[in-house]
Amino acid sequence: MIQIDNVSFQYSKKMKILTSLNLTFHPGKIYGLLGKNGAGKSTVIKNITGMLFPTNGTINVFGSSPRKREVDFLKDLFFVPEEYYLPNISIQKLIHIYKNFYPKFDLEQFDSYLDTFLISKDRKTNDLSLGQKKKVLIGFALSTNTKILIMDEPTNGLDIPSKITFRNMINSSFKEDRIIIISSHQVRDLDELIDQIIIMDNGQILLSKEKEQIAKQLLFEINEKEEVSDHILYQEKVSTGYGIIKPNKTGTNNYVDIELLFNAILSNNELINQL
Amino acid sequence: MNLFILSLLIQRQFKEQRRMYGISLLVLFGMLSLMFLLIHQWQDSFSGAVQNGVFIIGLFVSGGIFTNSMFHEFSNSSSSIWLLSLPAKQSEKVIVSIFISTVLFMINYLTIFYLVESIYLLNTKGLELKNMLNPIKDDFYIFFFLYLLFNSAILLGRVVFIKHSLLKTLLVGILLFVCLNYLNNVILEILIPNMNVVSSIPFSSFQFVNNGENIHVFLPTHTDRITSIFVRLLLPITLWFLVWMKLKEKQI
Repeated sequence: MIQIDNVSFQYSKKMKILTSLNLTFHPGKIYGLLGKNGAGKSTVIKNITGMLFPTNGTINVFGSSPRKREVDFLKDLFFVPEEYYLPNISIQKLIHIYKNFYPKFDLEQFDSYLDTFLISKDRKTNDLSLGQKKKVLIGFALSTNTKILIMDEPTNGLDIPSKITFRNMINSSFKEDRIIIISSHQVRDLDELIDQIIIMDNGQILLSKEKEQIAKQLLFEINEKEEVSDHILYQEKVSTGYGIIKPNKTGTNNYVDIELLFNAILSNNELINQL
Repeated sequence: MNLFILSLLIQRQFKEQRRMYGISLLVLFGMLSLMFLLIHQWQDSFSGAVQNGVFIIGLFVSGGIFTNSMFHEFSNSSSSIWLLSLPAKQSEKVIVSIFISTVLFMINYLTIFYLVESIYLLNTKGLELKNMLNPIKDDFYIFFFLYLLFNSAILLGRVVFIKHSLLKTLLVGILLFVCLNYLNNVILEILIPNMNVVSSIPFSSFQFVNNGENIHVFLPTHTDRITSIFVRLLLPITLWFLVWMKLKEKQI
């Protein structure tokens, strides 16, 4: 479990990024950390991974403090940053060196990802395109089978077929003891993938809720015309008409339009209270 | 300390930097050859232990550049994350960097130096043991200890400064040296007033003029020994310790 208690982070007195943040991440779930650019998503992630240290508050990751960067903690966490790095060697050598650092690394799993992406192991990482490099890194990250996998904007730089493959890879590698946190501002990319939605803005958590619960509470519809009704919690013009959010009185689970929810949460405090 | 992890970290360094290290050895060979060629061409202008001079210049120039390539990942944030999140103790990462940039570097440096020197002697004075550089003779081995101090300072600069770490470290080192010398003179003038101090080396000796006579003052033997241990061993170990501390606290 990852427990974030009252965490604040600031680069300087004038530059506060996170303010009294409280969050809990449980194993067996895929979390979508959503927010506009500059909302504080990457800072949260860097604090969890031990790349930044909280100014106030504590973070506990399966009993370890990330800021200590202990070996057992690092063996069970893989972080794919938005701007990623791979050493300039062949993929074969990369695996030969780095697989030994991760006790649960599965070579067959990694090979299957490379086959899916049609990337040869003999190629050097610097000869790959940015998208291909990212595929190799994501494949490596999934094959480490760490308890925690954190990806910051993983779909940036991936073409549309690769985004679909990415979703399939995440689903197939998901295990009940694993926590996956995916941060993105491209909300649609995470559709159908995540179990819990966390929406951030200005360094604060506006919403942290299971998608299933949201689906029980809210109804998402597309109407041809703008609707005027007291029941409507939020509506906005979309390409096919008007996206509408209403209270769900049917008691059944409905489709959650994450993009619409995201826009609604950022512009409508009433909706947050409703949830 | 896990020996398996240490060996993995060493392997990682060599497999990733293999080409660069190969080219560097060739450059080192070329640089030393050029220096020997220059002293041969202008042998009338150089006198004394010219091989010693070539050895020291080569050691500190190539050693400085090579040491600065340790922790090269810290030159940008994405590779810094890659290195810091690698599952190994920060102390293991530091020890491997020290081992590669001192022991392994020195083995390679000595091999290349003696190879170039042998070629030089073959073509000049004749290849005889007595003509070759003897590191034991005249306390020349002191420079190996000074290299450790230099190495620890460069490594510390590498983890402290993000960009142009070598230049910044050298600049800080020069400034410190100048300030220490200045401070040394000020203290000497307070301790020995009305004396004209002409030169002083911190932690070693000083010279002053008394009634037109140059007087050279050295530290007593036991104090000199303490100073030697401090400069040659304690100071490098302290700086390596600071590298480890800084690495533990490094944020990206």
